[in-house]
Amino acid sequence: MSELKITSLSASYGLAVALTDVSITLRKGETVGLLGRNGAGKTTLLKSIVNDPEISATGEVTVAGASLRKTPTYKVARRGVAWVPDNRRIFTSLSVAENLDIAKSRKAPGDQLDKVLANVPLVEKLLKRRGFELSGGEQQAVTIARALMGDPDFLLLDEPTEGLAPLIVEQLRTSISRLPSLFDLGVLVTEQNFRFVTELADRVHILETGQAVWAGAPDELVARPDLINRHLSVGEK
Amino acid sequence: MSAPVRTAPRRIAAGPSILPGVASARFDLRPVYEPLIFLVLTSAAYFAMPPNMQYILGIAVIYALLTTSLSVLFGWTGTYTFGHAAFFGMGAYAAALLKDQAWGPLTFLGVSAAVAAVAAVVIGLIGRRLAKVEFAMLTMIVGQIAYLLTFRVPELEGDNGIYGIPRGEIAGVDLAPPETFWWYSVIVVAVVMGLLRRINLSSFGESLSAIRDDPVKAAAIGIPVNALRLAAFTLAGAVAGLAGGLFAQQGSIVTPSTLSFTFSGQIIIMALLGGMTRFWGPAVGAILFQFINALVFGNTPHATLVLGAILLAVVLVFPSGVLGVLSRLRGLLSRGRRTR
Repeated sequence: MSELKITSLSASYGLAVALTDVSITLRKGETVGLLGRNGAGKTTLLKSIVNDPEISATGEVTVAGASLRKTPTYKVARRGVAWVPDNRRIFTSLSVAENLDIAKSRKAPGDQLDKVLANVPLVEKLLKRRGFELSGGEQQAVTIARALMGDPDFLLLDEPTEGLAPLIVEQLRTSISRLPSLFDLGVLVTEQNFRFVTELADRVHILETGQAVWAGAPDELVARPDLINRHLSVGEK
Repeated sequence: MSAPVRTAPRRIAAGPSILPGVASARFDLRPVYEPLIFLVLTSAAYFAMPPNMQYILGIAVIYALLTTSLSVLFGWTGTYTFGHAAFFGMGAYAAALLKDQAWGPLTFLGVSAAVAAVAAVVIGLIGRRLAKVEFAMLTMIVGQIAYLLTFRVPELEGDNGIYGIPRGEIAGVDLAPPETFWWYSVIVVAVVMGLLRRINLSSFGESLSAIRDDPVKAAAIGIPVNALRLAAFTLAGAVAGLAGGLFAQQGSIVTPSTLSFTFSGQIIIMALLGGMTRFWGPAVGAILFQFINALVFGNTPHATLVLGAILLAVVLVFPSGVLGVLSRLRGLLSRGRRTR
């Protein structure tokens, strides 16, 4: 089975170390959640996977056994790893249709658009709208739809709920939860929203100051208020 | 976002153009009818003008092409350049240095475009890893070097420039008479503008817009940012070079001022005046600028001050340029009509 394997990954911004010796495996068909406070290294981990040029990383990242370490960001996307950065980052001067069009890869099946429009709610109604006209929730839906246009094997979502209303967050959770089976892909999602991740993920990793400090099933984490208080500073009531 | 899973509808055909809106853009007729409108309007104006104004319009349409080539970088791609005149000058000097060759005028234009394109590839490769501002500085330095070379290389004739560049003939038609040359130059400009418009509406153009909006995200969805920036830089250089070749044919002379930093600044001002967020903005800006320039320099000793004030007004009051203002006015009028 195809998997995205992160082995002993360390990363830094210049001299500032942001990630130390993190190992995570993501398989197709599953959702892995990454929890951690601000500055824990969640975004750095995703950027390191896609080889963002501002980061210097060591360790290994492989897809189906092939290394991604020296692969430029755009080629990582073409190798089936779609990254949805935080702040939604829609191309504001393009229409939604154009946003989706430029993201379609040659390897994607001909009916990929149909599949995406059918299964990522909201987007079909927005096709003719310009990026700058969309609300936060609409933008998030479009960025996910755009990432799916390349028919990825793995989807990296960076804090998708940031700044969204609770109702939209709930809708987003339902939508993301269906992606692994519908699109046959693995989802790695970073979040500060504890409930969002524990209700969505099959496995959860906690990062703290750049290090992986815990990994396990969401139910295990929910049952461990000590861990939650120590590493995430949130309490479940 | 919790709609039930649906079977994919079949109404959108698979193929290279995947979306209804975008598919229609691919077969958009704007690359055909917009240059035709440009050709008709400028020609109508040309033949209604006195000869001195005809001369200005003749240069203005060439500058329209030049400023549009700048917009490929500034407006479409978000790449800043402060040395765009260098490509224009290289194209012009290429035509001048080869003036004794028995080539047709279109071949000269091809050579001018090729020389500038090669220079753009070299500069683009040198600066491919530079950030925006550093790259802009590199273009400025290259522009200054090219300018200084015209004084150092004897064949380039220094301040005097190179005279006697022939207009030539096409299919037995002599391009020397002003009216004939007008048709030649405006048709060349319209055709190249049409090609640029086609590129602007293509997926390549969309990808450049994505790079301008957010290069990080563009790379994240598989767009080769550096390669497309280089392609845009080469395209802009080639078109600027072609405009330079046309300029050399038009005036029969090339001087160092075609490569100068001042002229690079003027190209930016012209493009800003028309508005770089719209395809035709820079072209409109170039034509307006040439006539404002002619009127101001003919009637006041403080011409530079007046031009400076105009630029300040553009930047502060209507940063989207003349076309941006017109578009906003049109929006306001149509809203007013709806509410009536």
